[in-house]
Amino acid sequence: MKVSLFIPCLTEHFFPSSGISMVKIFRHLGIDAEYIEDQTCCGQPAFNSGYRHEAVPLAEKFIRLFREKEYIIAPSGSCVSFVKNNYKELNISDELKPALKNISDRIFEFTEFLVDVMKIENLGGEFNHTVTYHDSCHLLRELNIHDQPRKLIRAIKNINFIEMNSADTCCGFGGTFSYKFENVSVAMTEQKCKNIEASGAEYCVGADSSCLMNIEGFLRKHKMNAKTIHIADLLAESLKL
Amino acid sequence: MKSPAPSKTKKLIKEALGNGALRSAVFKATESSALSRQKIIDQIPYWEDLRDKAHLIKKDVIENLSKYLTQFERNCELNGIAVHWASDSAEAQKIILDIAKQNNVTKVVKSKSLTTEEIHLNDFLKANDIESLETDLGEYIVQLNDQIPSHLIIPAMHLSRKDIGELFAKKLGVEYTEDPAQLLLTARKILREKFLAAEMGITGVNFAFAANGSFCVVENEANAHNTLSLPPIHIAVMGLEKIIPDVSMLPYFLKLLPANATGQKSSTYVNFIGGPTGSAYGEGPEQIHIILLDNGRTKILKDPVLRESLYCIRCGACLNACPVYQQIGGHAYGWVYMGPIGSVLIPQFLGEKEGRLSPFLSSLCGACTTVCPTKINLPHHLLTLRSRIVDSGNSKFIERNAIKIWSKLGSNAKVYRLMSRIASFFQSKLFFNSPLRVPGYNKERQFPLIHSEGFRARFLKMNGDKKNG
Amino acid sequence: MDSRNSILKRIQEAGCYSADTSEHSSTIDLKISESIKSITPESKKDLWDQFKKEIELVAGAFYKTENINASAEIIIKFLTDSKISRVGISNEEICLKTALKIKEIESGLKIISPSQFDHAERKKEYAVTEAAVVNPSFAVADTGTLVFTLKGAGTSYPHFLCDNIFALIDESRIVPNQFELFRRLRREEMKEMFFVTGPSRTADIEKVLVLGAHGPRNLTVLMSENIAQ
Ligand code: SF4
Repeated sequence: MKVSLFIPCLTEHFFPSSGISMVKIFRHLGIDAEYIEDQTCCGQPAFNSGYRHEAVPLAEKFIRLFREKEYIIAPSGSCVSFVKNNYKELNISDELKPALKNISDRIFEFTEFLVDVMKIENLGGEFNHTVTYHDSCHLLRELNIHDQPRKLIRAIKNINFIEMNSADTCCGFGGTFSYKFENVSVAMTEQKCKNIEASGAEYCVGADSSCLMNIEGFLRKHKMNAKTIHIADLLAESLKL
Repeated sequence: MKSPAPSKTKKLIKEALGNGALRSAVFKATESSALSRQKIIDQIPYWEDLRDKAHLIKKDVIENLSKYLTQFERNCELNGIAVHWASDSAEAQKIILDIAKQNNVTKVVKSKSLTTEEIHLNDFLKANDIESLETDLGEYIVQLNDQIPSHLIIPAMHLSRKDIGELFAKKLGVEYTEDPAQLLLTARKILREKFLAAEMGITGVNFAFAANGSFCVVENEANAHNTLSLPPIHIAVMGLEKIIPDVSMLPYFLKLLPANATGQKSSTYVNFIGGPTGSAYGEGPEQIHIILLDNGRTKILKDPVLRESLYCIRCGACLNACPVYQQIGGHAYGWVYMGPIGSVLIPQFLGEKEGRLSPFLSSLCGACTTVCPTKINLPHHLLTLRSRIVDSGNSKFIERNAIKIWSKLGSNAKVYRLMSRIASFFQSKLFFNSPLRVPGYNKERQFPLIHSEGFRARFLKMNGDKKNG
Repeated sequence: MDSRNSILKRIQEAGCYSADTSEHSSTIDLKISESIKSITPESKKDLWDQFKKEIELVAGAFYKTENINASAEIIIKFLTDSKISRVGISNEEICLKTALKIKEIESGLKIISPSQFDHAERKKEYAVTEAAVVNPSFAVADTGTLVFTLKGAGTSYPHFLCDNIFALIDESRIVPNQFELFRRLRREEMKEMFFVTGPSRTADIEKVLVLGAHGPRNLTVLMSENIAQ
């Protein structure tokens, strides 16, 4: 089996290790992971800020690169959801339109792919810490991903998984929202971090780099104890890959 | 706080965030509303089907609006209800004033109606020497406080019992107390007299029924019933979209609305009005007028997708579910409709310029749409409106150009990687490898480090290792 | 052009289409009605049990009584305990009958009935009357709701202006839910009626529930097997 990696901007520049962890896990499972070097941004920031025309060339580029791929996998739910659900809102060239369906049927978030497509819930591995899980909005509400990451986490040996309060409440990032309305965004992040802390978890696991970046940024600035960890990193670490 | 000010939302947000009492009041109230809502829904196994059904009913109505409105008009008239049409606030105000003048009305009681907030009715009547008193407890409080409601269902959500105690002491001259029961008693006593003396009652409409020319008002306090049954004249103001084909469809909505609005299985009172002096003893108002208000709704109708925003039954659940609303409360949105539905309605009602910030005041988390009883796709509409605002030239110059450049450069992988290398260079030379300071983001949050070796480089290396090894 | 026509014109120009949603709609109806069926009690007794549970959840009280006499006694006890000397009634015969029964035992009681006064007077009289005896047309089991049709009650003042409401209802008048209720109501009745679920309430101050907002503080339902006897 072969999968094609879709590495969103934040993973590429800020959290390359999550992408690498994902690759390691695929290798561990005997899945061939290819990386198309020409890929860039999927266009979500432009689209979500209201710049639909500006999102078009990026989307077209993405479609051209990925149109033939059997599985497109990303370690970030929000970008997956954007490609899957919102490319059809864009005025892309007619020539590329037929490829859209193929892409939206074949693009998966990492945990969704493991659990729903590969039917893998237990990767083995061991992690001796207390963790909680933050439901990223687009994973949860647009891709319906709720149980998949939890199954993978719970299967890890010695891990102590606890649900925090309001795990499904937004962390406050929201892309450009985080700087357009910085103070509101921060107030939301603060609430999220309080909930993480109150849960007693050492790690907040997530499956979307943007939320993790946001939460981690607040935790560090305010010298709180908890850390964030991407689920791919968690799995790779438990497997000592 | 009286005139619409969504364009001032940044200032209003700052005020709200700086007000600790407001924030904790709003946070607690929204949380408890969301919880009690969930408790009821857990007992209704067909909840999702109800939402589907309500969506379809509203869709049918909105797509066939003139048919249902004219049918409603005809049947109202057969029932002796006078129907008036108002294109905008000014017309609605004039209709009401004319009726008041013809009947020498000087004292009006009102029950909660957002539609009348939309047309600034209280201020208008006051300016015309007519006393217009809100009678819903929450509305009464905000009116005393010279404010507008901060929530669709709980108008005084932003005030604590202490605030209200002080307000009553100051404005009503009663002894200070913060006991909600005592405060209610004070209001009840004053308003009981007002109900009995009022010459006109003004209410909103929750649902109007085309097939039999009647309508209903849903409430908990009995103030709406008193408003529409005691004074000799009743005026009901309704947005065009409030109609449903027939009263027999009401049970769907009467399950959805109270669960979502107040976490009740049923609201305490549902009042059905189908004509003047209906009872055996000539009770009830002698005149009933209904005002069908456009005020921008037909403009919303023009967009085949955005017209879905007219499916709203003003249940307030999207506010309680919204993490943005939870932090800032309703006044920060700057208009009578707030929260996610407010952000969707503001630019459509008030235009792209005044509403240029509203659709952006959302993290697009989508919690709103999962609770909406008529399944309005609120985040989708926010996105559509964002692009409308950009297309109408109401976005910021710098942003526009930054995104244009990003889109150009981002289409080329080589340039894209070069940009990242430049940023990483800056980070190492100017910030000595500590996180970049990103204005507008990192006041309270550390910006992550840009890795000089990104995913691509690492992947290639890893692959090389594999191949070589 | 007047506003009516200009509004209708704008609607027409908006270019809506006649969406036929009926087919999809009836599939959903089927699902809903099946789901409702699976959770609806079958016997009258169970329906009343459900009603009792629901009305108590919204701070109402419920008693099953043998007959009018037994109902009257419950009311009398309440009236003497709370030192109430005026009882308002609504138009239905059973209300008057019960009131007279009460008066037989408590002769000092003053009965306020709607036919005694003209409109303006009646308002004032009921406003100073603290208890009322009323007779709903239906009770809805799954929400604990009472349904009053204005044609039957003749007035809504006792129901809203008096503080303590006693609702007399016959055992046969229970319906499982509002869907069934609307099948049972006559078209004319649907125009002028009101639903009551518990005493009036507000939670407008810090979400603290307070009973007796602008209407009744107490609601007691007295159900009996053959109310007329
Ligand atoms: S948009 Fe939906 S959830 Fe929000 S108030 Fe309207 S009906 Fe309720």
